[in-house]
Amino acid sequence: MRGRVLMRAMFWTYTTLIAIGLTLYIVIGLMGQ
Amino acid sequence: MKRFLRDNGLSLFFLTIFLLALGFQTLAGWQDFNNSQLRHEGDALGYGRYLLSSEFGVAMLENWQSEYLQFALYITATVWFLQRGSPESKELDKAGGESDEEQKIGRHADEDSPLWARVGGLRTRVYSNSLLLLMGAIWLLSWLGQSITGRVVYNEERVEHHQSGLDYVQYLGSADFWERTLQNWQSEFLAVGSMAILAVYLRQRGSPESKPVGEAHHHTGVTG
Repeated sequence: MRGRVLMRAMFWTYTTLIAIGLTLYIVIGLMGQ
Repeated sequence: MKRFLRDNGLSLFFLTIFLLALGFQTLAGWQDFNNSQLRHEGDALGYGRYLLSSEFGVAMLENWQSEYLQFALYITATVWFLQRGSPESKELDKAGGESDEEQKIGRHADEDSPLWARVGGLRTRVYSNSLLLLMGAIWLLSWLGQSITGRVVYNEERVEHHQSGLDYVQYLGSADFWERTLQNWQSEFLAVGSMAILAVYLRQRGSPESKPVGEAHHHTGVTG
């Protein structure tokens, strides 16, 4: 059971990293920086 | 801990080398940018400022978009397109979305099938395409990010050369945008296409991306 929770944590680590990268640079580009 | 490492080795390994490569990309990109600024008598940027610049953003996102396009296309294309003998292909009579029974959907679901595979209706339709939906969304958003940051970088260069900047729609039609896009696409398409056909005849012992070493060349859809 704990193993499954940790698998989910890996899933969210990846998706969160991707979401941060996308949002950050779209905002930076929109600000013209 | 040992079990966590074993169970998640693949995603941990790639996460680690992703962060290392990205970290070194920021260092090399920063140095390259400042070298170019000095040549053009511009101001050098601090490391933190470079990290939050469109210069770094476009370099990162133009590669992201092509990778996610590659996977989104591969996920979709392999539903319908087959390759005799390839471990990347389904068996030759299985083209298409397959039956609910084969896909364990609705009343064919197992006890431990995901809820959205069991319930039917819209939720099951969404869940049936959820991998493609997410990979496709990441592709489109990173391509959007590439176009927005790419325009900022391109316009900075034009201003340095006393030219007027392009608006967003003009930039979407520019050679700069399409060269950045297509130079990444072509390499992905070649790598994926060659993988599909090379794996018909060549093997890597122990890899699920390969057929078993002794499998016949004409056998399709077998992974070792």
